[in-house]
Amino acid sequence: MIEVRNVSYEYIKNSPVLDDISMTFERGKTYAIFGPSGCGKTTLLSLLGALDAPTSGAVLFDGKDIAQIGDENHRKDNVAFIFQNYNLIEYMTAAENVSLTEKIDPLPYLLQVGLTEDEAKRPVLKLSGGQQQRVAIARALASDAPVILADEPTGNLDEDTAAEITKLLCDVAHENNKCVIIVSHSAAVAEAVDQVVRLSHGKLQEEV
Amino acid sequence: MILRRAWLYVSRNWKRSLILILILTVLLSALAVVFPTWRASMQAQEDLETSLGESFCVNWGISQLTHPHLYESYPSEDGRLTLYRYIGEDYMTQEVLDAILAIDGVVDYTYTQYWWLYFPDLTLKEGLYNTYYLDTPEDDPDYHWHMAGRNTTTVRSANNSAQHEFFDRGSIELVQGRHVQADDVNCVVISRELAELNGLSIGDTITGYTLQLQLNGVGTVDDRWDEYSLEIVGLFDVLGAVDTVMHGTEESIIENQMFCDVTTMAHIQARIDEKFNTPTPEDMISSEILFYVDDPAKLPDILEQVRAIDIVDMSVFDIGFSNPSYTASIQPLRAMRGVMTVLCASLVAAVLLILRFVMKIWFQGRKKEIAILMSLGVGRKKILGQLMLEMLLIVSIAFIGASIVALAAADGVGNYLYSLTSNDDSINDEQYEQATNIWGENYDPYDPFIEIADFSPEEISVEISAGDLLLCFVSGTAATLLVTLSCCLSIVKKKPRQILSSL
Repeated sequence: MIEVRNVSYEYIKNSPVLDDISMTFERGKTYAIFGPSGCGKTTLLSLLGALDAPTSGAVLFDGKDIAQIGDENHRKDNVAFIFQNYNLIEYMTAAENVSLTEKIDPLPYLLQVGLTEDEAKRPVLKLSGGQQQRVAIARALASDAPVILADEPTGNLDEDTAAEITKLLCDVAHENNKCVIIVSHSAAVAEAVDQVVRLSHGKLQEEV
Repeated sequence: MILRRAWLYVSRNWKRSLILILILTVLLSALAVVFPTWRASMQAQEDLETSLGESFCVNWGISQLTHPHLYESYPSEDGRLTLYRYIGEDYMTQEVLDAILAIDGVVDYTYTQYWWLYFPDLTLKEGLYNTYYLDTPEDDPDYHWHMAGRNTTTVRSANNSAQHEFFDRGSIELVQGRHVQADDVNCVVISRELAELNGLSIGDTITGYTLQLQLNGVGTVDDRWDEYSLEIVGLFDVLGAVDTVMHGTEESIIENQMFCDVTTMAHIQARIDEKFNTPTPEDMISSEILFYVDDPAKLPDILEQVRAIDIVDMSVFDIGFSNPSYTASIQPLRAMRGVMTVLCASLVAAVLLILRFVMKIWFQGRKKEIAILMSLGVGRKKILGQLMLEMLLIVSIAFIGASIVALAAADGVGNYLYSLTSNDDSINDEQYEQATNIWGENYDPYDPFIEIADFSPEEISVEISAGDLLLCFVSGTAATLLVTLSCCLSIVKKKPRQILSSL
């Protein structure tokens, strides 16, 4: 489905954050990428989502190099992001954020992630952190992308809400046959996902 | 989707939008006012040219002082003076004159010359010689000069005295009889005041003499040279005020001056040349010729053609408008045009700078949104399109405001700027001097200081047309979009992660 092949990434020359890593992420499964701060988790997520380009190696989607697909096309059609700080457009309502790039009815997606009709009409800044993250998830769902990349989606949330969001992401992966890759420090997330990937010293170590 | 997002931004962030709308309204208003004001000043200048610029002057602008290599010196007859003879080849000949007259639109010409005639039987309006210098002792070196001065006045000539500069500028006016014409011989127009002072009327004859005294300062009033009996054909009145403090000698008082025919003056000049051993080339017609055109609007084109004549080096001539009223009246408009040109250029630069500054701040606050849109797969072109569309919406609203402000304020602002460049004393000293010295001379003691009519408009008419507003909208929009593009390009060129990590 989505694959990193011999990918390296350097901020400083000859000091790779990611060092010749390879791995394939499959549809219908949830992944958690763990590792200490600065180990390159978010960088890996950015490369998978074409927010950045690898120093060497390639990211493939369905066997095709995303450099050939095109960054914009890849981001538009293949992946959806959920950020730790939600990255919602602040002057818009929840519904408007969900239908930001597509002419769709946002309400079913918002209802799917547990928000009410009333909450859907509210400006996002008038929603709680958990509600805002739900909006971000709804936006990811609405994009119909087969891969959802979540960068510490529960980092700013309390334990209960974090558990709800994690469950929601796992359900999305299983019910909608999507590949959900979550960067996290949370043990709860590690327990909830199908596969945990540990990133250390620029290398990947898969754990089941 | 682009329009929807653009509208949502502009409407939801209405306070920020309103600030930008106000800034753009001010800038667009200024643009909408400045261009029509600049045009109005141009139009007023053109109108003035059309109404006053009916003639132009070709003046031989060189002298022994400015071009010494073109002159050779020789002693006067009595050896007391060093005289100079022109030995160059560039001057006004019949061929050059014919070439100018052949230009389409040039319809007539005149050349004005003057000399001083001694009229022993005339009582002149009193000047310095009949008042201040009455008691000059006989052994004073200037005694004979002062004696001659009491009855000497300036006689001027023109093909048609109506075309003489003094009549032309409206300083004096024919009130009886007729003007001296090109085919007249021994005819003269004098002032009504001089005529009344001497009991003269039209048809009477006055007799004047050339004196050796006036050539080289030697001799007495009895050393007369040639006699000229002149028939009075017309009388004039002086309309303007005369400065008699600086120019108080009899020959410089305008009421004492006369206008004779060119034949008489040609004879006087020929005899002077004879005495001077022909100091100027024989085929030189005049150093100053005034040409008349049928349509003042053609003047700029005609002047170009005159300058392009290649028979002689035309750069030795000062060629320009001849009407001193025009010269004086045009000053505030020229100043206005200069101010407006600087203002236009400054305004355009200021608009771009202010827009750049405002937009830079504006789009710094949009970085996150741009990065979000990019991470959601919205293309760079669509993002730029959205941002430009937002600006277009804002400019459009600002334009409506600017149009209302400009339409209401244009005339007032334009005339305020015009008032800054014009003087309440319609003609100031500098203009006055420029106006009187149309031949490029700094000072001419025989050119009386007569008040010159001021034809500069009291106000200019600044009208904003639909075309002006369209131009303002297009240029304002173009500038805004250009600045928007330049501010946004540096953001959207980055990878989304670069933008997000920089926040």
